[in-house]
Amino acid sequence: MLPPSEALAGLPQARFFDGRSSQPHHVFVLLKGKDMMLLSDEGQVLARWPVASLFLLPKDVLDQPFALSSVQMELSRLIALDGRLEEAVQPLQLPHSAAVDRKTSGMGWKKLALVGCGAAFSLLAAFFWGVPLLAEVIARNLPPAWERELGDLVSEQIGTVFALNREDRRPVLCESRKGKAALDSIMAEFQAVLPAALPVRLEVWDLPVDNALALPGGRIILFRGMIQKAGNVDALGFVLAHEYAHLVRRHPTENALQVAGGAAIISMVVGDVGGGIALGGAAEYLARTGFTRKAEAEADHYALYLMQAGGWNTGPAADLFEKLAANGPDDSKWSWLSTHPALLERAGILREEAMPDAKDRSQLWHAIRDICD
Amino acid sequence: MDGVGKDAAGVNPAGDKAIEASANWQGVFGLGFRIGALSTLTLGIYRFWGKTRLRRYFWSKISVLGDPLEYIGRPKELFLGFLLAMVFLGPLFIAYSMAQALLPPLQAALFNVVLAVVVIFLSGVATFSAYRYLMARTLWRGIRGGMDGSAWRYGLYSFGWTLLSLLTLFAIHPIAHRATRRKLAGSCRLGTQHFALDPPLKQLMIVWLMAWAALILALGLMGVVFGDQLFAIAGGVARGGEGGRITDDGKFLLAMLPVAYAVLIVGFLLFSLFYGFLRFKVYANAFTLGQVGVTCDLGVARTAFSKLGRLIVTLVVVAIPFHLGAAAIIGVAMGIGQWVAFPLFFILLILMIGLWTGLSLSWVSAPILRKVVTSLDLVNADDLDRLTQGQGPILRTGEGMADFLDVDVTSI
Repeated sequence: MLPPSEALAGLPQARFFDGRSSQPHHVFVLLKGKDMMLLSDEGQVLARWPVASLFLLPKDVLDQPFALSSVQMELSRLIALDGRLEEAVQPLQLPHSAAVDRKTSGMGWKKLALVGCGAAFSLLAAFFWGVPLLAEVIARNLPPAWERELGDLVSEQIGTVFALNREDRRPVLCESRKGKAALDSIMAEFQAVLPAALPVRLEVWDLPVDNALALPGGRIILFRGMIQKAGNVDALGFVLAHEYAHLVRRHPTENALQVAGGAAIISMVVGDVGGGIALGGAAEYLARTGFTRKAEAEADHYALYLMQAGGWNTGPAADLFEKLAANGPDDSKWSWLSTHPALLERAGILREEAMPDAKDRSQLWHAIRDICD
Repeated sequence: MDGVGKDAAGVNPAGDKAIEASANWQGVFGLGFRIGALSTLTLGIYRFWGKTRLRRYFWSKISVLGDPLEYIGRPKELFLGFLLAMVFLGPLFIAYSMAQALLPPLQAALFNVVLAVVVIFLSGVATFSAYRYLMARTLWRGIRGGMDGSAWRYGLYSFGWTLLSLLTLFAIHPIAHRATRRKLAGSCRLGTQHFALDPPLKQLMIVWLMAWAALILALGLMGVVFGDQLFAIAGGVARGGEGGRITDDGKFLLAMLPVAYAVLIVGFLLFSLFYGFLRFKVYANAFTLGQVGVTCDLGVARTAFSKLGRLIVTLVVVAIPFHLGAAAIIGVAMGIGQWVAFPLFFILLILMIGLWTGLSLSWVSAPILRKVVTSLDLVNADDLDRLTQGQGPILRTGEGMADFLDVDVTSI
């Protein structure tokens, strides 16, 4: 039995959209038994919803103090015009729309968490396993001509950066006949122990830089500054063995591929595929430090093997690393950011493995030391 | 709205604006701060939840005939869409990045051309899909929006216009943009009623071509006056001085390049803001839903200057504490090491990105959006009472491709 028209005024009032048209309706809300009835001004029943089908809409969705709907007419909206509707339905403890959605869509928190974990696992697997494996396969099968061209390009770019003050933007090469012969003999020794896939080209650049580089295409660049810093043939031998090990393992090409692939994955996850201001660079740097550090440790391992096989003295190389560590910042505190293992750690390993009956190669040193003269 | 000031059926009394934006936008700072900070903390994953909360907020603050828009999208839909895009586009992107690191210059250039074609096409597909998702997740008075048509077909259509635009060095950009937006708007509907967009081109074309001609003229003049020197500088940078000798004029020009760059950036930003708002006004005035029309009296130049000013102020307000904080952390932490420096720097980053998001939303986006929304009004608004619910498939996987390709369809 419906209430008479005059009794409607005592009921909660609301604004009602039936989900079929945009026509607004002013309604009175009557809770009767297990149903909620929406009555027009004339007392007609516009909708009858089972209480069990009702759900609350979040306050921020409609910017309304109180609104609800029914799963029977999911898009219908009942918006309270006064506080009485909220008071009337409070004892019913209606669920919120999000809870209803989780039930009806079949995608609850558990399933979503499962999908998320699966995605995270796939991404980690792609980063730590897929990309390195792919990089290794590509690096091993790359046409030598491409790799050499890539190496030449990188070498040219490095040359432009290091020789900015020169008119021709090209570094001066150190090519004394005796010096070259001495270095070639060292490289030949390494190649006899561990052959490389591509012929090795070693260049000495007349620049005061304490470093040496291995580039794609079997290229090694040794700077004059590094020869001076090494101070003896055994220390320099380790530097060359380390760079040669990079070539044997095809690290330069493999690393370029790993860094690019790894950075791509990080960029995708953080939503920065287009390359934001900082995130793209940070992604590349993070990928670079992780992959490069692993390659450096591997190159050290292979270099040590080459040194031991050739009867080299590794003690001077340990001295060199200690000297470098003393002159630079304490890199053990910044190992996450470093592309190489900590210098003192490397020195310790070399010291442990030093052989007492090493071969004497000091005659090579005079020729190498003066290679730029 | 609380229903006050309306008659029993909820119709606005005569004289009220048909479209309104709520006054209280300050609350968005806290929301923005939380979203920026949490997105950083979760390395970007929270952005799907943040985006949903923001849309809910902004949609609910815009009301038509006193009834707010309603955003009913779910974060998990965006998240699943993103995962789907990762599955299909991720391997392509990884392969592209690796190829970039590997290919010799000529092959890399060819590869980039092929990739650009694919990306332009997919961006069109992503734009259509993102609009379709947004429309399907937007309600007004319980009537759901929707979109008809094929995203792939729109991708092709959009690709054709982009290609034409590129071939004319963007001289016909307004024509291309109008064509693609007409197609998009014509596909959109509210309930069963389709939208239509038929904007005049004259004003937009004049403004665009004036700017376009000015740019071409400036570049041409620079080429004539400084051509040799620019060639020498470019050659010198690229090939070790083979382009020719750099004279004193050239050195002056080289020194002025950063200034010219700054002027160009600010000029470009101001023009793109001005043109963007002008285009919005022209399009809005030509936008219809059946018999319902829209009018827009936006002060274009004032709004563009206001937005630029607000952007600059926000940038400065965030940049100063960020630089001071970063310098302090670097200074203090050099002797302590990564265990202290990293967490400190990460906390600073979280706070600063939170501050940037909060400020740019509350101090830039919210007031500008309010200005834009309140400049709108409706003609024959009574017809909106006669909309009926439409039918159509409801996407459950959000706008993953648009998120992946950085296509933003919610900016003006």
